[in-house]
Amino acid sequence: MEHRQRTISAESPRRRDAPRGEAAEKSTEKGASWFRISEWIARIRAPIRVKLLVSFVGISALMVALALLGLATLRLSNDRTNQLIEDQELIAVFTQVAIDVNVLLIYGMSIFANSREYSEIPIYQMTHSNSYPELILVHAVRKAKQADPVDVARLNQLENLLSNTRALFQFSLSIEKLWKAGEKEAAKSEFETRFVPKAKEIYRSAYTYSSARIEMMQADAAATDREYQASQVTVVSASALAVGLALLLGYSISASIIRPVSRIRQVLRDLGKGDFERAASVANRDELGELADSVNKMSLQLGKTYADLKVANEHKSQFLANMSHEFRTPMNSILGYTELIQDGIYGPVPEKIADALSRVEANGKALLGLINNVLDVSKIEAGHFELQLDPYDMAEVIRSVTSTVEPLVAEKSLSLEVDIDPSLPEGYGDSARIRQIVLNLVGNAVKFTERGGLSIHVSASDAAFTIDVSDTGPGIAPQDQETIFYEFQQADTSSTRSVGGTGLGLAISRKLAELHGGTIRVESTPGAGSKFTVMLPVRTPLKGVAT
Amino acid sequence: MTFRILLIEDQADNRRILRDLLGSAGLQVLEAPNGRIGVDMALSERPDLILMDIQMPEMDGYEATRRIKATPEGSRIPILAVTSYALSGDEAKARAAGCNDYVTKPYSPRALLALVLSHLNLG
Repeated sequence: MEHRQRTISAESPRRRDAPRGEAAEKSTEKGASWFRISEWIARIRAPIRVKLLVSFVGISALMVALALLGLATLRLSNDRTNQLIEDQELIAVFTQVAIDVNVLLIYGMSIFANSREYSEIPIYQMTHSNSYPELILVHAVRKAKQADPVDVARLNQLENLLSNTRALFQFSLSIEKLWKAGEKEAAKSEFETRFVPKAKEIYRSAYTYSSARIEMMQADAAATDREYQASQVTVVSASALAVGLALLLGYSISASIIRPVSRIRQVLRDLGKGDFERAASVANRDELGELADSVNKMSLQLGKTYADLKVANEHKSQFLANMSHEFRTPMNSILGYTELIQDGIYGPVPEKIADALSRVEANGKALLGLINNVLDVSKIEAGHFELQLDPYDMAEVIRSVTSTVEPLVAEKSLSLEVDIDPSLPEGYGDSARIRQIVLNLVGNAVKFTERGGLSIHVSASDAAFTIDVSDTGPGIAPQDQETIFYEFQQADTSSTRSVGGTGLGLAISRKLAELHGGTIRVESTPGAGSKFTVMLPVRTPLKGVAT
Repeated sequence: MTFRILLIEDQADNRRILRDLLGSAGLQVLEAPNGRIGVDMALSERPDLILMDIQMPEMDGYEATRRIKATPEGSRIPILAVTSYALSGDEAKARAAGCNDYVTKPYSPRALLALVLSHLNLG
C-alpha cells in the first residue's frame, strides 16, 4: 500500500474537513434551510433510536390528524344530509296534508254543490279520508318529539296542523251525523260555515309551512355546497401541509443521520488510502457524534503511528548504511592486506606462510559472504532492495557459476554435468542477483553432496527460463522442504553442522527470484538426492522496491 | 614518466594498502586524509587519477568530487569512487557527482589495480 507523503507540523496538525455530501452543497434556499434544521436536530443530545421514534410517531400523528379531519368533514356532511332528508320529509308531510285537505274540500264541494240526490258514499269517503292527514301528522309529530334537539318551530307547526286536522275531523263527523239524520241543509250550512274555513286554514298553513321549509332546504343545500367547497380546500391544504411536514421531518432526521455517516465514511476511505489528516466534522451529539469522535481519534493515532514508523524506518535505513560501512571497512583491510602479502608486495612469502595465508583469505571471504547475506536480508526486509535490470546472457551467468565451483567440485571428486539449451533468448533482469541465486543452489549442491555429482539443466519456454539443479546428496525430508526457505532455518542441524552456513542463502535466493517475478521449488526424496527448480521470466516485469 | 595517483581516504589502513599496492606497480602515491585537503591537493598537485573514498566525515566523497569536477583543471582528472555502501542508487549517485568509475569495498586489490591502469590507459 502506498502511503502519501504528508508532513505533520510540530505545533498542530492541519486537520481538514472531509468533503461534504451532495445535498449540503446545493446553495438553494430550500437546501440551506433543510440543512440548518438537520444540523439543529443533529445537535440534540438524544440517542438515534429516540430521534427516529419521534420522527415516525410524528409522521403517524400527522396521518392520524388528517384522518380525523376527514372524519369530521364526513360527519359534517352526514349531518347536512340528514338535515336535508328531514326537510324533505316535512315538506312531504305539509304538501300531503295540503293535498289531502284540498281533496276533502273538493269532495265536500262536489257533494254540496250538486243539487241532486246525494248518496252516502261520498260523505262517508269525505269523513274517513280525513284520517289520512291525521295519521301522517301524528307520525310526524312523534318523530319531531323524538328529535334531539327538538326543533320547536317544527313541532309547533306540526301540532298546530294536527289539532286543526282533528277539529276538521270533528266537523266532518257532525256533517255526517246531520246528513244521516236527513238534515241536508244543516249539513251544508255546517260544511260551509265551519268545515270550509277550517279546511282552507289548514291548507294555507300547510302551504305556508311547506314553502318556508323549501326555502330553508334550498338555503341548507347552498350552505352544504359552500361547506363542501370549504372542506375541500381545508382537506387539500391540510394534506399538503402534512405531506410537507412529513417530508421535512423525515428528511431532516435522515440527513442528521446520513450526513455524519457519509462524512465518517469519507474519512475512513481517505484513511484507507493513507491520508491521516482528514477529520470528520460532525455536529451530532448522539451515537454518531461519538462514532465520529472515535474515528477522528483513530485517524490521529494512526497518523502519529505512521509518522513514528517512518522515523523508525529511516533509522533502520541509516543503521543499514552504517553497518555496511562498519563491517566492510575492516574486511577490506583484512582481505586487502592478505592479498598484497600473497602477491609478494611485502617480500617473498615462504610456502608454509602462503598456505596459512590462503586459509586466512578463505575464511575472510567466508566471513564476508556471511556479512553480505545478513545485510541482504536486512535490506530486503527494510524494503531497500532494488533490482538493477539490464539485458543479460543466461548461458554466461551459468558458466560463471560453474567456473567458480569447479575447484571445489574437483576437490570433492564429484561429477558436474551442465546442459544449456543452445537457443536461449536474451534475458532482461539483474544478472548479478540471478548469478547469486544459481551460485547459492549449485554451492549448496556441492556442499551437501559427498558421493556422485550434480547436474545443471537450463531451458526456456513461454517467456520463462527454467534452471534445474540436481544432486545425489542426502535429500530433504518432506517436512523440511518448505522450511529450508525460511530465514535462519536449515534442514536437520545434525547433517548441516559439518557444512556450515547461516541458513540464509535459500531465503535470499527465493526472495531474489520472487523480485524477478519467478519462483524456486524443490523436489526431493530422502536418500535419493534433490532437485531445485528456478523459474524466472525471460523479461523481468518492472516492480518497485521489495516489501 | 611516473603517473601520480591521489588517494583521498580517511582510514589509515586503507591508505597503506593502496599505497603499497600502487607503489609496487610503479605509481607515485599522494595522500589526503579528508575531503577538504583532498580538494586542495587535487587542484594544486593535478594528479593523473584520483581514488576517492565516499564515506568520510565532514565532507564526503560526492561533495569532494563535485568540487573538483567544477574546476577547469579538476574536470579532466579521472576520479574512481571507492565506497562500502551497498544501498540502491549509490552507483548512480557517484556518477551524478561526476565520478568516472565506481568500486565497492571490499575490493580485490589486484582488480582495483587493473581498473586504475585501464583508466590511465596503461591496462
